[in-house]
Amino acid sequence: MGATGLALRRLAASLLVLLLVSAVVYWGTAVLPGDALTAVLPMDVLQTISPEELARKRAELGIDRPHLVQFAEFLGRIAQLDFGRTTVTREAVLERIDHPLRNSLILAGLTAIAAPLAAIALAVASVLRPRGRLDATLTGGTLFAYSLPEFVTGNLLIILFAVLLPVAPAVIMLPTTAPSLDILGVIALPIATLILGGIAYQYRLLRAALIEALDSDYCERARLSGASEWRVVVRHALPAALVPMLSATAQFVSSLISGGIVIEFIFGFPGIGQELVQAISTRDIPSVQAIALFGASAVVLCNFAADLMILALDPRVRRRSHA
Amino acid sequence: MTLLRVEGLVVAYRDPAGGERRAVDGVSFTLARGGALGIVGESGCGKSTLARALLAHGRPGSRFTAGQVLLDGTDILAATPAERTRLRGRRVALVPQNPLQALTPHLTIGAQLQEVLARHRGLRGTALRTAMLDLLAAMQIADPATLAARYPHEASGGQRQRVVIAAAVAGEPDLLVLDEPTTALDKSTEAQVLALVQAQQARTGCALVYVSHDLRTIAATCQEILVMHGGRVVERGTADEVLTSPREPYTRNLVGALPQLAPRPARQAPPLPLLEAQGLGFAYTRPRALPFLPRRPGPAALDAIGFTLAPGRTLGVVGESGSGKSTLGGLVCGLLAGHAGALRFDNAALGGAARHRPLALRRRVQMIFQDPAASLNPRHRVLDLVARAFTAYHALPAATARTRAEALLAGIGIGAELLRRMPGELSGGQQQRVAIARAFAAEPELVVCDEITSALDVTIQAQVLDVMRNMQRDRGVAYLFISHDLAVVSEMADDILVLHHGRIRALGPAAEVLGAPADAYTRALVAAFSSRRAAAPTPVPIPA
Repeated sequence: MGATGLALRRLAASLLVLLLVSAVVYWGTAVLPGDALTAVLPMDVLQTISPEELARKRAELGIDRPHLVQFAEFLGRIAQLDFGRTTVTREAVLERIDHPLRNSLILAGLTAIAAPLAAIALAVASVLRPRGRLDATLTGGTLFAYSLPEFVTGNLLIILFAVLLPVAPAVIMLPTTAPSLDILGVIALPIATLILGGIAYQYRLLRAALIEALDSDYCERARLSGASEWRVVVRHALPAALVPMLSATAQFVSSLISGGIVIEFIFGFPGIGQELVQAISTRDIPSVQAIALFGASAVVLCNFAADLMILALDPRVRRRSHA
Repeated sequence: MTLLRVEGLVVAYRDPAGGERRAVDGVSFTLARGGALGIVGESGCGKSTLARALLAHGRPGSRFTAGQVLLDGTDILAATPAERTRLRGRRVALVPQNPLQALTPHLTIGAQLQEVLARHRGLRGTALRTAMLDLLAAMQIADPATLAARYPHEASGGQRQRVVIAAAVAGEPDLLVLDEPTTALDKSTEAQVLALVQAQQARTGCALVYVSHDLRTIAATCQEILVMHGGRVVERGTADEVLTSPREPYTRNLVGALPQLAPRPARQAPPLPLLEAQGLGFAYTRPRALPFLPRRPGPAALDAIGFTLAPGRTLGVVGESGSGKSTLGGLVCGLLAGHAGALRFDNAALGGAARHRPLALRRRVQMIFQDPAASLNPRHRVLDLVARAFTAYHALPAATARTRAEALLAGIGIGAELLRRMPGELSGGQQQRVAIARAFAAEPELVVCDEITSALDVTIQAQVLDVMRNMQRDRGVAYLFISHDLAVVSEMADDILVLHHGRIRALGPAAEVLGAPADAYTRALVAAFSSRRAAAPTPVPIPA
């Protein structure tokens, strides 16, 4: 089986996971007491309606049919990104979460690119002079940054760059409906906070993997065939050493999409986390469902992307998985 | 004309206690342009450290504390890092120890050779690719373009070793340092690789420094030999002198320990077989195509094997990696389950995973593995490891079990001073003896030995084989003795089974299989060992 076959297999597995997640989301709300009708109608109105009337209404809405049929319909709707209407304001769920979702995706996307790149740059610089001054500083410094909670790093950055040295806004004053690219101008500090928190783990995984790879027979052979240390590190050691880091990166990035709540509150960032908190507090089940599904898709997608990259980087994985 | 002159070289490693340990301790020698020098010694004698010093490379934690390495009269140890980098691959190149690990796994073979060619010959584009394919062709690779597109793990061990040699000679160095270049290879491949190195030397006139623990390989390649022990040169002379009239006791011991390709004397076999296979087959399963789909069987690892093994006898199983010999051992021990055909032990069906076998049966069939460091629990003391086997299989009280374990260990040379140690604090040979003791604590009737000496030096190997022979003589246990080394098998086996791609190529009494192999593959295998035996000190005629 070639790399394509394996990629297709991973894709099939990812889709299966998504299907299971949708089932959990569907039945998770289906087992709650009451149904869409009782949820929508206020209690006092509900009491004035006869059971026959309710049954007729249920048949009209189609919610008296078997769960499997309804689940199939539910899948059909979410395939078209139709998550229904919010229970409170009756607007389309997708419309309500559209902008926060875009903002979160921009924040997560930029961090997803910047954090691993920064980790790679720092780790390569570290191992070019192992146990040198730079290596020691970075290893200590990243551990320090890693051990600080995000609300501390975030506020420190606000004090440094918004108060003492006013180059960035402390709090983002953008309406959730502002054109999505406006967010780019004010996003530097949230991204920096996320990177500081996320980079240490990725840097440490990569540095350890690089040191192990540089100690390998193949790197020694490359070195003794006259390759420069830079070339040995970047061409011979780095690609395979990225593999353990990429899984951590995928986890880090998917956590940004589904749960950057702390960051959003510190910076007043109009993202999906705030929306989720609000939806939960108002029992807005369609919104919660939609956000949960997006979050799960993000996790699955990130892991799938990391799998693809690992397949591309390490040809042995292709072999190992059918050995 | 002198190409290389090493003068009083000392390479020291920092040891954890803060002191220094001299891996190379005052070594001096000279090598003429185009000459070939062999350096022989057992693991830990400093030969690999010396080999790297010839490229001005010290392993992490080591320092050149004294001496010089003069290449064409210039001390390369005094060169700047940039000068050293320029020298490597261009004037001195290394063929490293383990060809299976020496190629970068995520780069194609072609890309890795082109990297070296581009650096040392300044080639680009089509010229670079042509030179790379020519280089592979010069290494007698049948289809260079196909191999160039492969990743290292997709190539065989022999192919990988040729690629590593190709990468070393790409810069046409004046000096080629070979560090155990064939240790990881099958013997038939080894002969081809050695021929290749000699052809390269004849073509380019480069000098060779050949480092190995294998005295025979060295004698076949080099005119002059240095014997190293404990970082020092203990003996030097021509290949003939060292092999036929070694002066130093250490060298005599080394030469005497070489296994001979000579079958053990024939013994009368008891009538009833202990282990019997008929039409035995096994296939590993492929991974599932999709989650939850059933697994499908892969190609046959063993294909309709039949043999018998009588109590107290040894059946040697020989084959290259991938021949199915370890699969056979795994089936007998119950590490693998689900075979086709019949496998019988003491007239009852044997099969299924070891964990489903009754304790009594597990006791009767024991296994010793290649790597004792991996098969012994690193957190238990030697005595406990063996005493536990007594408790588990014979339900002995703890004190009795310990006494029995002590006696057993003492009998195979593990003295009282070693009993409280952890496996990690023992040498490889000592670890393997502990593994042997643990297997024999069960008082088995059949012991499966899977490459039990291939990680050991020749003198230690000779000791371990001695222990195994004594145990068999005293206890009448049968061995299924698996190895890639025909010479070792011939010393141990009454009967020999030659496996190739899961099929039997030869089966019969050792003298027959070694003396007059009807099968072409077996003939080639015997020839590969015999050709090297020509250099051995006391040639033993193969019975016709």
